[in-house]
Amino acid sequence: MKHKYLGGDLDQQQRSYVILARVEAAIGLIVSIGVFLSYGLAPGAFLTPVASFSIAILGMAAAIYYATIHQVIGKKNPATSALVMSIITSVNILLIIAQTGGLDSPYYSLWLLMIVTAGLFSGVATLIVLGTTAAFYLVSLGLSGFSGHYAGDHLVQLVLTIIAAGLAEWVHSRNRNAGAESVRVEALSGQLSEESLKAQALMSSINEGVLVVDTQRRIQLFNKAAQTVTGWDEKTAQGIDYQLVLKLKNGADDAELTPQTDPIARATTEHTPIVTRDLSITTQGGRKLLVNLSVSPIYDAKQAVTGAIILFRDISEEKDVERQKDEFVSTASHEMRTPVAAIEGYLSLALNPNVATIDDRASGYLNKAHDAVQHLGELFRDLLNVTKAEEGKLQGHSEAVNLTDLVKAAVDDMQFTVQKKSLSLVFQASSDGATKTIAPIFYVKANPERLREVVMNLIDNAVKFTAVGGITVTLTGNDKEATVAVADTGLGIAKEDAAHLFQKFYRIDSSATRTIGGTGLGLYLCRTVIELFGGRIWVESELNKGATFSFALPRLTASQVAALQAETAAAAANAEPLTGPVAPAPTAAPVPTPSAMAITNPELTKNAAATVAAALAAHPPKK
Amino acid sequence: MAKILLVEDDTNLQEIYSARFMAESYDVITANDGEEALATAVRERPDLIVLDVMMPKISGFDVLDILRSTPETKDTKVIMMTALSQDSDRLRGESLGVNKYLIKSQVTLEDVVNAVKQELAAN
Repeated sequence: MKHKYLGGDLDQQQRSYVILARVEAAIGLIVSIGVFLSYGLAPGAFLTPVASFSIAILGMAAAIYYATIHQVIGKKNPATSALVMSIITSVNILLIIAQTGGLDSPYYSLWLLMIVTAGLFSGVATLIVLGTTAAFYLVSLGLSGFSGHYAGDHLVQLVLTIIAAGLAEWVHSRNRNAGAESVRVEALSGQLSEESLKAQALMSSINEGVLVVDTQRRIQLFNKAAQTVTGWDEKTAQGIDYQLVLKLKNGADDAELTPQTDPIARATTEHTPIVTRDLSITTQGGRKLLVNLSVSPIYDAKQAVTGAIILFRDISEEKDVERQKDEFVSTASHEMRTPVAAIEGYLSLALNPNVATIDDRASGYLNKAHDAVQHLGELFRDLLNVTKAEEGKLQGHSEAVNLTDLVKAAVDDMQFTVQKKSLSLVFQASSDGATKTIAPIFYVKANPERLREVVMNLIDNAVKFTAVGGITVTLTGNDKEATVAVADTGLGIAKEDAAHLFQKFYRIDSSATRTIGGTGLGLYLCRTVIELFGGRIWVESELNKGATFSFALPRLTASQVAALQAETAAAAANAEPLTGPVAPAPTAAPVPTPSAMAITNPELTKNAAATVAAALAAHPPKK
Repeated sequence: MAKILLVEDDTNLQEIYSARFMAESYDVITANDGEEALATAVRERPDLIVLDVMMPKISGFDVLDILRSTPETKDTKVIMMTALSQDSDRLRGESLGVNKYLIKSQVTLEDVVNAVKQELAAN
C-alpha cells in the first residue's frame, strides 16, 4: 500500500521506519531536556552526574542525528537510518533503566518500546533485543544472588515481556511477508507491463488491421492499422459489436451478411479458420473498401471458443489490377475473333472444290492451317470462359437438368468424332447395386449448356488421348449424388501429373502427349463449373492403363425437381421485355466485355416504322 | 432459289460468306450497315437474313427488333452472327425472336452453311 508521506510515495513499511525515527528522536529530546532540568534543579537526586551526562548526551545525539543525518540518508535508506536511531535509543534506554532501578525501573516500559519495534527491522533484531533482555534478567538475577524470590517477583514481568515480543514479532513477520510479497508482485507487474508494451508495439507495427472479438461479438482489441483503415479510434471501438464498426457486406452485390455468409460467425461455430476475398467494409467516412479477411477462433485451455481474431487488409488496389488484367484478356480475345473467323472462312473456301481449284499439296497444307485456326478459336473461347469464371459469371442460370438425357445426348453427338478414330463409345446408366432394365432418372441443379460442355470436354479428352480401344461413359448414383464417369483405354496419367490436371494451363509434358492438341484450360474450366454447381471432379488413372475422369453432383429429390421447374417456368414467363440494360450492374466495376448493352439504341426501336421509313429513304433501290 | 440477305460490315467475312452461299446456288444480296439492312430487308423480302451484331448506324439487335415489329419482315428467318459470347446477349437475341445465334470464332464456315440449310428447310 502506498501513502503520500513526507512529500514522497512511501509504502507502509517505510512509513513505519519514519514514524519510529520521529518517535525515537522525540524521546531522545525529551529525555535529554528532562535530565538537564532535573540535574539543574536537583543535581544528583535522581541520577549520578556521569549517568545524567551520558543519558543527556545520548538523547541529544539521537535528536541531532534525526535533525541532520537522518534527513539526508533517511530519504533513500529509511531502514538503515532508523536502525541507527534505534541503536542509540536502545543504549540510552538501557542506561536509564539501569540507573533507575533495573528491572524495577519505572522506565521499563520504554524498553518494551524497543522490543516491539525491533521486529520492524527483521526477526533477528527481535531475537537480539530479546537476548539482551534475557541477559539483563540473568545479570540482575545474578546480582541479587540468584535468589528464587527475586526470580518469582519478576517472572510475570519476564513472561509478559516475552508475550509482548512474540505478538509484536508475529505482526512484524506478517508485514515482512506482505512486504516481500508486494515486492514480488511489483516485479511481476513490471514484467507484465513490459510484455504488454511489446505486444502493443507488435500490434501497431502489423500492416493488417487486427481485431479481437469475444463470443458476444464485442471488440476487445483494435490495432493501429485497423484504426487507420476504418477511421474508428481504439477507445470508441472498444466493447462495440464488430459489425457496427466494420459494416461487412458482400463485395459483389452489397448484400447484407447472413449467419451463413458471415465468416466470423462461421469460424466460431464451425471451429475453423476462414479466409475470404469477397467482402467489403465501410469506413467511418462512408467509403466502401474491398478486403481480404481472415478469421481464426481463439480457444482457452479447455478448448472452448472464447472469441475470434480477425485480420483484414484493403485489397481495392489488388482487385483493380486483377480487373484490368481480366479486361485486357477479355478485350484482346474478343478483338481477335473476327480475324480468326476470316482466316477460317478463307481457308474453308479455298478447300471447297465448288469454289476453288487447288492441287493436292496445297490442299494438305491448307487443311493443316484450317485445323490450327480452329484450335486458335478454341483457345480464345477458353480464355474468355476463364475470365468469366474469375468474374463468377461462368455458371449462368441453373435449372433442374435430367442428367441421363443430357449425358446420352452428348454421347450421341460425339459418336461421329469417335468413329473417325475407330474407337467405341458406350453409355451405361445404372443405380448402384441392382441391375435395372429401365435406366434410372437423375436430376441435378445446373446450367444445361455448361454441364453439356463439361461432358463433351471429358469425352473429347478421352478421344484425344486414346489410340485404340474405346470410351465408356457411366452414370451411377445414390440418394445423395449422381456420378458421371468417363473411362478410356488410352495413355493414362502419371501420379505426379494427376494432382495438377485441374489447374489452369497445365499440360502434361511427355513425348506421348506433346503432339496432342489442347489449351490446358479445359479441365480447369470443368472443375470450376462442377464446383460452382456444388459438385466435385476427380481422376483415377495409371500410366499406360487408361484413365477415368469422374464428377459427382448433388442429386435433386422429386419435390426439389418440381419446385425448381416451377421456378424456371415462372422466371421465363415473367421475363421483362429486354429494352434496357439486361444484366444488373454490380457495385464492383465489372469487366466491360463488349455486349449488347453497349450498342443498342432504344430510341430507334421504339418507333420502328419511322426508322424503316428513314432507312428506305436513305437507301434508294439500286437499279 | 433461296434469297439470302447478308448483313455484315467486315469486308473479308462478306466476301467469304457470299462466295460460299453462291456455291450453294443461293441468291445473295448484301448490306453494309443496319440502316441499309432494314431498307433491303423490307424491299427485297429475303428468305433468310444472316445478321451481324456489331455494325455502324444501327446494331444487329436493334435491326432484329425493328424487323420483328415490321409486318413485312416479322416472320423472316434470321441467323445472328456475332463475336459477343455473353449468355445475356444470347438470351436477348432469343427474346427478340432470332432463329439461331452463332458465335463467330466458335463455328466454322461449314457450320454456318449447315445452319442456313437447316433453317431454310425448317418450316
